[in-house]
Amino acid sequence: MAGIVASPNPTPFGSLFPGSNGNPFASLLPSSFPPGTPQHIVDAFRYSDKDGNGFIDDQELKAVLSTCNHGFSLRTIHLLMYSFTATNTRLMGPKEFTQMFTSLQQWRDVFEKNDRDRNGKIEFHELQQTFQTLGFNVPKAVLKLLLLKFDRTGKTPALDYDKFIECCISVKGLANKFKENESAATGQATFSYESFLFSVMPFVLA
Amino acid sequence: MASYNSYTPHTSHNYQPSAPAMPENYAPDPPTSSNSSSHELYGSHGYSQSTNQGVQSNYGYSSSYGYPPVGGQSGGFPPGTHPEIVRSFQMVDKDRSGFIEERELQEALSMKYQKFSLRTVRLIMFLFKKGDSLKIGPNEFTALWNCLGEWRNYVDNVNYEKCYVEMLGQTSKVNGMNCSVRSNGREFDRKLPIVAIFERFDKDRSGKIDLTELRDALYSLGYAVPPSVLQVLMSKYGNGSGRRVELNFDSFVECGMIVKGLTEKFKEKDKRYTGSATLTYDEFLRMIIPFLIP
Repeated sequence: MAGIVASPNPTPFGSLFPGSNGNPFASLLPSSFPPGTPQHIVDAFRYSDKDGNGFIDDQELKAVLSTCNHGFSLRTIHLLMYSFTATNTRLMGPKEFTQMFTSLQQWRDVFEKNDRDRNGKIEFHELQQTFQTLGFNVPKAVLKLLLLKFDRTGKTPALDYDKFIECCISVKGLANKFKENESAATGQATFSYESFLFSVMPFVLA
Repeated sequence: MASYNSYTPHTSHNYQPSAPAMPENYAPDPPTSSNSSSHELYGSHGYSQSTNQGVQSNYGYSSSYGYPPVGGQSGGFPPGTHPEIVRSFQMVDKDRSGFIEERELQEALSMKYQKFSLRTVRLIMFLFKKGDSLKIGPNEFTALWNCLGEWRNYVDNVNYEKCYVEMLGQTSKVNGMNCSVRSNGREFDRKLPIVAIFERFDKDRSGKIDLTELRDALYSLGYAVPPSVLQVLMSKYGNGSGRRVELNFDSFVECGMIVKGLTEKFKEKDKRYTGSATLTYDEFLRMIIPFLIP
């Protein structure tokens, strides 16, 4: 699924254009909209970027998404930001915003397609099916654990759209971290104490 | 991961106040047991000060099966347990089952410490409970109570020192019994510095700790957290403005429990303490999932 993998690190201090309008953030020149970006995405970003510095923060992102996409919890917002900026800064520029926006539309399709009974929630079997389609190799027992974590409420734990995104981004992200350290020969991954904490913290502390 | 049995918080002024020792329980009720030294409870339960060991291994007492008819304060607690602990537990265990769940734990902790957020309570519960149970009994409760007490003391000491050092730094003139001391823009006229210090300490007891203090705290608890990880921790609690980030006690406990928990999980897979662990995908996910929105 394109766009879910974290985009390469924008280089924060790569500005070679010192004369850019005296903006104190010039050295942290944000990305720009890819050519052909739909106008409504550009407008949404510009509207949220109140101080016009080319970045929107977590609260601004939460606000803009709740008007033109879906109401997400702050936790989901943080996970999205981490996934699409590959940093913990909780600031997003135009390019990452566009990638994320496009991705969310794809995720929405996945959600609706797998919500067979159309009750607005994804239950265990629907989630199992979803993960299979996406190639997430999560063992059944672990899937049950996951579901219970994300929905502590009733007898049949299920995910609404917000929780679904939260869950998928977490699993996808953790799977990527695992892969980075995986040995092709054994299928196991070796982590140092530092790399373990560093990889895992952004998901735990979203 | 070495444990540091006597760690004195280090300030940039290199100052060690020779202040009277703070009582372990800075609470209205004086402890009724004969010895109120802060290490008595640790001693009686064999609970070592290095909390980076699995807590369960320090208990030689079997878990309770409710409240035995034996008299005294026992109620499932080993004899010699601080009455405050027993009282807090029993007050929330309304059905006398000998076990309490998360909301009851939240209530019990708010009597001595504060009302922790449910997320923090769940983290505490996860780290101290046995197996898959969703409840904890007297032994686990005692262990976590003491652990929180230790962390509370640490934060208090840090704040106390900061306060004292600041007051000393700000003392302008001393004139016999009267002196004028400015601190944070507030004047404590006509009071001895020592009185002002305690007043200020009292007010600031809900004080916050910053990144350096967090690192030192985790270090003194036996966790050498790499700088890269500390950055991630602080980005979670920061407000993005780049200003000094400070944790209140709830966040400090949340943070500490996460580091403690993940470190213990990691060590389970690195029994020879080489500093690295090899995991299957299944193991990896299972280690982490309990910490995702607990």
